[in-house]
Amino acid sequence: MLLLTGQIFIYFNLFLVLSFLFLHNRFPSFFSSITIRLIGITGCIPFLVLMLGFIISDFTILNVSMNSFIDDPIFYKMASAWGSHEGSILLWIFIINLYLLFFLIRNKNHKNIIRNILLIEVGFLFYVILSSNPFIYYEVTANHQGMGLNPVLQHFLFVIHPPILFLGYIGLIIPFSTAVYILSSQNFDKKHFQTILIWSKISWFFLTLGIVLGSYWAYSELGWGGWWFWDPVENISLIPWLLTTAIIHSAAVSIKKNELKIWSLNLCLYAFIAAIFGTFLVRSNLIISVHSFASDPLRGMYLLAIVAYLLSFAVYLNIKSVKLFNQDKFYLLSRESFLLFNNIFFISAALTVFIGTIYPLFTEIIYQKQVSVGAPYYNVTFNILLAPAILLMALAPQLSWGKSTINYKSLWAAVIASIVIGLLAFLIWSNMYFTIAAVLCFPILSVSLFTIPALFKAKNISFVSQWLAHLSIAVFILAAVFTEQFDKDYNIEFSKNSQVTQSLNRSIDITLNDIHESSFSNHQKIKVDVTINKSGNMIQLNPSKNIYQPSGQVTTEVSKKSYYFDNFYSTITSITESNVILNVVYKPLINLLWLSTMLLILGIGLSIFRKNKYE
Amino acid sequence: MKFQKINSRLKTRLIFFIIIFVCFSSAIYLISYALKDKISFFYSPSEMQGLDIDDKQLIRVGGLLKKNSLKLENTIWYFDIIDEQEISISVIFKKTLPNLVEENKGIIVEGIYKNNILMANTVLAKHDENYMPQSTIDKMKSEGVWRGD
Repeated sequence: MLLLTGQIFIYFNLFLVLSFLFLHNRFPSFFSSITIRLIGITGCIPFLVLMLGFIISDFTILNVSMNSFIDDPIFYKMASAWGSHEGSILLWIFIINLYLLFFLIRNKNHKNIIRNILLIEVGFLFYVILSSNPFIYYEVTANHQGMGLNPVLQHFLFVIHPPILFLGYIGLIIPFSTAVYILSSQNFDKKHFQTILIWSKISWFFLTLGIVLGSYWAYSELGWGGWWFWDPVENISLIPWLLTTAIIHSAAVSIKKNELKIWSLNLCLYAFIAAIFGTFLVRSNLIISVHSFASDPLRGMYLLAIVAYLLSFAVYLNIKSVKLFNQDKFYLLSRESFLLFNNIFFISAALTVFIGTIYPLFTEIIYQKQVSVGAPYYNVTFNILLAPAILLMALAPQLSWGKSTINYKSLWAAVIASIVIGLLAFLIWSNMYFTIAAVLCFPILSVSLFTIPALFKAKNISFVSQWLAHLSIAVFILAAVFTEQFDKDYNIEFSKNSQVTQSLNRSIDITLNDIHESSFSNHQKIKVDVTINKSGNMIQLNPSKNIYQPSGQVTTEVSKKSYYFDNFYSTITSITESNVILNVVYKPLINLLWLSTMLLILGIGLSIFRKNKYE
Repeated sequence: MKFQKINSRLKTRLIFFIIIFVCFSSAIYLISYALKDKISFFYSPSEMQGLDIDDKQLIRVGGLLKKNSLKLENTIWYFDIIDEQEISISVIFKKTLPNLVEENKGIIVEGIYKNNILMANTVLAKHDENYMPQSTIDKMKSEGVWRGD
């Protein structure tokens, strides 16, 4: 029953979209606005039906049978709806239509932009119908209980991380469609750029949140490479993020100064294409990733076709708009030119990530040699390229639009203060990388710590979000460099039957309290209780191992606890007859890193809800 | 007067052009330098035979975890990675092995190869039960031992 409903609504939605696309010029306006709403609603239904199928465990749907287990908790059952490839593409369509409905609230008359959105939705609808239809009938045997969701995915972040990230990727569809409309109609109305800015911010909000949640999840699981591993799946989410960051900065110039328009529009085109292209890369299995997806070359080809389809839009519009280039006039020392520099740095950074991500594909085809591009590559490219941008972040918001001046006295003061701070940092921690980070981040830290309270005092809240975002980046960099440079990794061997204390370093001791075993229906749990004494503060950790019957498969459960901004991360390496070996990782300031990302998300959230300062 | 204005605009343009040029060319320089020196190679154990591998460079090795090779001595894991040509290399790993690392299953290890031993600093875990690294599948396919699909 559900199977049929899902099928019918996919086709019905496709029918409505196609008829709107081909016939909307002949529709009376009343009729076409009804059709658009109907498209939005019917487009949401198939995914909801699939989710209902998961909730009630309707195993006649193949996808439900393959990815759900009858006794899974309800949240995992719901989340299983995007656990598989088919389900997640259906979620894409759901989100496109959700955005369509929200877009309609404030933009009733933008039929042309809506048409562009639907032109893209058609691609995804065909994609579902041709290659990833989840509504396939499955012949159920009497006591079929489902194949079950992959146990590795049973984590609360599985419930929220994918949909939020998808909201981020697909949110870029509105800037894309608007940019296509502006470029094809040559109607450079300011209000369209405002549409672009606000929807880019919404998308950027979800992208940031999605990436951070993913990063936290990877940090929590053993063997997923830590909070950032420069894995292809991580990179392909970073590329649209960097480009969207660039859009937000350049669209401000387009609105305020009526410049950098073609530039901003092109960014909108390529940010969305980058998001789809990234999906193609990781779902076609062309590139080796730790965070892999079940893959199928045919599906990859369809996604590639969609990318080519979107790219053809972009290239056509690029050619069409060539003659519009070269109209901007800038003062070198002005806010707009610094925003342009921001864009150049961010676009170069996106480019380096892109090249690093696809390079293994390239070497495999050309040299038949497999390579992996990891942190060493990004340390010399990405990090060096973004370093100047950090310095500019302190300076740029203080410049005014148009011709501006710099107070050279305070500039020199800032330069000298940063150098002093750098020297101090080097004396205290004697670490080169952290010293560089401190020098780079000090100007923005000090300026924003002065500016934010002043802005609050002056009740000038509209600029707080911007300073908050810049401050959070500086804090993030300091925390990230600190945690990577000063983390410690300890292997500790305890003999099983004695309470002994071992010293890890001058300020950290660890004591084994207890080892207990408990039996559950399908597994046996061995839990180790240890106490870490960090200069008088006690931190309890209890890592465990589960041994599943009858397979004998062993899983290692991580136990992590925070001590202010630091985090202790412990696992049982092994347990033998006589002793137990623990691995304890000390991650200093990692919580400051998470906090800074929350600050960034708060900053962007504030800027979405505040009164648009460019109006 | 007018000429001066154009002149100053040209000057600004030139400065912009130079800045953009410097940025992008340094980006390209950094990328090409990093792609030459800062990438790590991905090998199967049999590909590593007879190769002179720099003991300062990180490499990744993929294959299957050899049966009965996994053992623990003094908080250190020792195991072998084997490929379909029955050639294996020894690995040392000092941290906790991730879940789903099992004998006769695919494994990817990153580390430094020295004195015929791979000192691993990272062991990567697949998250998908059906998952096997594509490179491993490709290698198995090319050697005719792939049983999937």
